Amino acid sequence: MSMLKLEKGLKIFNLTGHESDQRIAMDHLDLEIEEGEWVTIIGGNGSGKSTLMNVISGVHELDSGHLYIDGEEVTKLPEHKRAKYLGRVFQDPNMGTAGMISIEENMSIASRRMRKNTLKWGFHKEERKKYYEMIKSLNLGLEDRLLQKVGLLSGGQRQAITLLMATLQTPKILLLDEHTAALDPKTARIVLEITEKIVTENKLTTLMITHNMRDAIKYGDRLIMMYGGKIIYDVKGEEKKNLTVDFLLNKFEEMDKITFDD
Amino acid sequence: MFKTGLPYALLALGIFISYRVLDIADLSCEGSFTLGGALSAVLLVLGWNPFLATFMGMFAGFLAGIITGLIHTKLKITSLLAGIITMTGLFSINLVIMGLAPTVTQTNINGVKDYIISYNESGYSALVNLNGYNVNKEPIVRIYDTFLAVFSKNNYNMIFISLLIVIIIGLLIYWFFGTEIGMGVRATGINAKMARAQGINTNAMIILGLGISNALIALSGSLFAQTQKSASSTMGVGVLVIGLASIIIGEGIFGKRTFKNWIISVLLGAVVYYLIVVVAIQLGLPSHYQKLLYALLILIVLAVPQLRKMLFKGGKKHVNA
Ligand SMILES: Nc1ncnc2c1ncn2[C@@H]1O[C@H](COP(=O)(O)OP(=O)(O)OP(=O)(O)O)[C@@H](O)[C@H]1O
Ligand SMILES: [Mg+2]
Repeated sequence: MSMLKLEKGLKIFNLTGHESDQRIAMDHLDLEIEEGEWVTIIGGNGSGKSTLMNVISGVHELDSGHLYIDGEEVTKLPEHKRAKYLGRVFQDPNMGTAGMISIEENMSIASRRMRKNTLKWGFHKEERKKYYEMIKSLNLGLEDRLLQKVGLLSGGQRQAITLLMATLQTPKILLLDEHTAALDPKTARIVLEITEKIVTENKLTTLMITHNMRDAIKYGDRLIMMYGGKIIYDVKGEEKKNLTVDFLLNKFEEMDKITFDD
Repeated sequence: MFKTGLPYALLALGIFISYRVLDIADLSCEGSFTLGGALSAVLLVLGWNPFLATFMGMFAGFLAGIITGLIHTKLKITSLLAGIITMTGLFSINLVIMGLAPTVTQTNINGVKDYIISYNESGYSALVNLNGYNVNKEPIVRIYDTFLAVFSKNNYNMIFISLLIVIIIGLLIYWFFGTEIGMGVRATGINAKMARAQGINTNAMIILGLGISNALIALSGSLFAQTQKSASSTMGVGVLVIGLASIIIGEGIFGKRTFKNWIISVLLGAVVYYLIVVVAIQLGLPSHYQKLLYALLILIVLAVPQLRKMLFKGGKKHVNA
């Protein structure tokens, strides 16, 4: 059974209520992703990549269509109830963590993602050792700063912590929305390497949006290209490994031409 | 002197929860402060146990906060407006609640003592007096009249009971915000998107947080009415500013390094704030200048960091030149 299944997903944004102002961000999209598959998603600005993530995570409710995670229908499930299935890392490094509390407190909140919060004390001393080891494995020298506020960390460090938080409790699906786009090239590389390590070690089903064609080809076992709220290209296996950046750029231009000629 | 200052510590803590923890400017506090005072006062006149009457005042504040929270999260009305709506509605509700208190007057006919209990016919009242008798024809028993055996002096008793309540509430609040649910409320206030991604029901946390915030504000109002021996429809006017000033003064003087440190700072901030006001009045500041003093106090504390920077920069420039 597939881990993620989207059937005829439709999402229309309309800010004013006028028909002329509406924008079809997801156009009757069908998508099925197998357990353990790592899918990279590319596409121009406004092609609907983030909308896909937001529909999966429940930030936006589908206007029509159905969504299943691991066989369970979640179309109507609110965002916070879907969280137990999902690990998420956002483009903005400030979004994934709470800056005014410590690394340790952020991690302890993440470790309780799968269940209902109670009136039990929110942090146990035994957790500290676990977090220490996890953060040490990042090799960023953050393990001695567990008690510091996350707001004091750099963007790259925050993204690394967010990645840990997203995967601390193994999610059914890991959603990465341009999670290295705000980082300098060197830091982006480091965060991507950490991502690869975590995803392959845990065999995580992963969706990763990127604007970097080379990364989209290098990482993952399947590549999806989006345009106008639709999937216009979908490759996996050998075919994907043999892709070139030029080929993908050509594909983009082709698409623009077709719509222009319309 | 401390006797009315201590209830303000709870007011400051309540406003701290909405303004700092949830990052929401909840304007309903003037309404819930009066609500707590009004309901407790009415219940005392009706002869209720003072602890129960105080608790009910606090609980009413909790409900008021929940209503603001529901308006904000379910009807998607900005928190600022949601608070104003609740406050406006509470003004009438408080008048009606106070109208429920009968007036008990002592009569003395031919040397025989008796009492006349007269109910409000208009259906509302803007004042409940706690100086007289309750419907059981006995003197009204406030929460401060309960441990009289411990201290012979009434004022010490007041300070002792107020202090006890402040400490208990302070500990409870510290405990709550250390629990999983409490951390959920804090995370919601810091970064709601992150909180939802971590499975926290942010709407529920906002509603709960506003409930607790207004419960403390109403408790403060209840204690305030009992120190003043009366509740009035206007007793809440200006409490938002008092609360904010206490928070800002407390943070400025005592810091906010850890959450524990932050709570203590806010509680002490209210005491310092009150001391300043009392000293100013003792020094002969006319009461109509009080509000100006409040405003200047807040301004000074808020401006200190910026002034320091300006002075520091100015000094540096001087050295460079
Ligand atoms: N919350 C929203 N309200 C209104 N319109 C939206 C909203 N979110 C997305 N859209 C619109 O939907 C379309 C798809 O947007 P989306 O964010 O999914 O694009 P994207 O592929 O992620 O682009 P980018 O590469 O710039 O991140 C765009 O036209 C956008 O303007
Ligand atoms: Mg996007």
